Amino acid sequence: MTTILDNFRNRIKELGAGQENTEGVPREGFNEASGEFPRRDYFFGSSINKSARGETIESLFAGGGDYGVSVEFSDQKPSTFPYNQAQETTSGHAIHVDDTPGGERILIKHRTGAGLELRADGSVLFSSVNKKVSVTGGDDVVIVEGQADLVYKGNVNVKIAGDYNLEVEGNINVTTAGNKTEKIHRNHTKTVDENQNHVVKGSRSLRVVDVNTETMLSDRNVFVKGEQNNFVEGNVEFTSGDKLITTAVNEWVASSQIANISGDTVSVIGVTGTIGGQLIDHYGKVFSGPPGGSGLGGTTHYGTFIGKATEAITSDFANKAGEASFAQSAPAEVGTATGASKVRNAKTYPTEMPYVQIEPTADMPTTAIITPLLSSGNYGIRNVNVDPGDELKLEILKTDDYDGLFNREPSIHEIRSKLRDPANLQNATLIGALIGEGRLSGKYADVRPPFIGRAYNKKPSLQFGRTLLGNNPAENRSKRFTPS
Amino acid sequence: MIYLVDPVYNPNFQSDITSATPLAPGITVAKFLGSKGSRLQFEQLSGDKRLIARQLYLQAESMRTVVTNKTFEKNRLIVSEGLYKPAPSETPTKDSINDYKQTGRAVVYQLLGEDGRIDFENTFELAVYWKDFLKYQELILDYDTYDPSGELSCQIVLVMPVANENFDLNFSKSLKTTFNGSTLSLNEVVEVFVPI
Repeated sequence: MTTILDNFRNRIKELGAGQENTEGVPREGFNEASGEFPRRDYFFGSSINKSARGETIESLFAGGGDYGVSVEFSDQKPSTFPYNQAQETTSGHAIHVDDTPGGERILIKHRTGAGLELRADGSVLFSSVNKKVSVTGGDDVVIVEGQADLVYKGNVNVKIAGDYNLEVEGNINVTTAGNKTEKIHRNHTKTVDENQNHVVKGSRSLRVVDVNTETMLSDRNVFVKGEQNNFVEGNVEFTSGDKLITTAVNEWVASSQIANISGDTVSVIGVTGTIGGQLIDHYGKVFSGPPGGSGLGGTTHYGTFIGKATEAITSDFANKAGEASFAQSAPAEVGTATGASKVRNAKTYPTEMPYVQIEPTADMPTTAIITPLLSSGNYGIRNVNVDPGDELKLEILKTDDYDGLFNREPSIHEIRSKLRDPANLQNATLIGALIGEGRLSGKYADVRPPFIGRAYNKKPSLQFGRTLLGNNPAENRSKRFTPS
Repeated sequence: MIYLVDPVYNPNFQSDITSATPLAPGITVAKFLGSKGSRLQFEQLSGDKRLIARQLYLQAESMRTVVTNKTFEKNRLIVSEGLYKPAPSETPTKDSINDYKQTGRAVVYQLLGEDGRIDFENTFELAVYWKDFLKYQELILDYDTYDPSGELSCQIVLVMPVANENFDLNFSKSLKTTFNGSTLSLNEVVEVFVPI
């Protein structure tokens, strides 16, 4: 009877023990056929996943935070064997279901560091090292009980097919370093329950194609430091329910083909000037002027008078004079006076005028009256002085405070940027203002650093390898190289 | 030396240069506009915009070295001072950092940690890494205590040579460490810190 053992003995006799004992057996014994495992990190040690044993802690890519934005989580407790069910593929994908007491978490990690982590404290980290797309077929609801920070390093485009309803219980603060453009295809309605302030450091332009209506239910004040020009092609109506005062320091001009000024009481007064014209009719109760005759500084009337005069010092011709008997003289060459006139030597004026004397209502407007009237009182010329010394302007523009280098309160980042120019660092006005406002440390010029640590010169430094290249032998693990 | 430029991102091949012009994967011109130290719009800049884009391409290449580096996987490199437009009455001193910032030759970076604050230790590591692996004209490790609180701040200023159209560049690779605007050390990077 022959057995398989006989063949074995025969083969040893024929082929030799060496060949018989190694044929069909892999050279590396019972190693993993692909050669990928054990990985370099697992040489000379347990083949159980290091994360499962708590030797390492797998984590996702989070990068750093941003100014004022933290992406920190509480530290993850290392896993305790055998609570962490860890799977890791050759390329580095990993799934961990960890029941380690105090460190319970679920991790799904891509080899790039992207993935999803449900952490022990219930936090969730979702990380994408490249593009992220979220598609929702139905509704989407987001409820955040705490604070939220969104930082976009690139452009953000939001398209909303329906309405965009925003309700904010607190303030809305918008700061843009660039322009803000709004295009509203239909109406724009804004209701401000309290005050509204606008500060425009440059120019402002408003263009309205149709009617522009402004309704003020209280006062309105307009202060213009420069010129104000109103050009209206059609009618202008400027109506006051009480008093309308227009004054000008130097000159006030009103001109029109037809000009009308009317009122129950009208006063047009001045020290010098002209009132009337070639075809102007004058109506009035009293015409009064300085006493004295023509050439003596008194009032002079030119033209024809129809009516009666209480007194005529000289007259070329008197058609009818009820009191001609008082005429002092008459030139002979004019002719003989008609009527009952006769020349008397004695000059005696009538004590009782034939007409009732009507005194002017007001005193004659002389320089003594006009000058104080223009300089003070309700009818005086208003002196206009808007923002004397440009104090308000400079306060708004801020340029003077910072010697023209900033036009607003700068942040520490903007200050740091500005001070990179040695000229700005030596600018006493700028530095003084920044320190005075508490925006720059008083120790800005201190050249003594608090502590000095490491130092490297231009010579290339010794570097440890940062990226594993293949499954290198363990002895290469800590090899250093010098970049050239 | 002729600098080999990725044709996909070569500004010379872009039809138009705008803030959305890509310079590297995930990095556009806009990255260098909205910095906290110098905010402006690309349209506000005068001068050759394609030249600016070429300068920024070199900067973007530098930024990429951080994104792909495991040492800095918990850090975020931000542009703290990008393109710079001087105030109307300001004339930057010739060859100053602000002069270079006008065209993108110089960009100031900060390295933030997960807590959103400057990571001083890794900033120094980055300066050392860049000085060895990067091509540049000048690298300045800049510290200051300008903050009114007296808190230390740290930035890396990276100055690139003028990027002409054929990218024939001369990288002199000079080093400097400054503190509060004064030179602390020439030809080396020195770590400044405040003990915890």
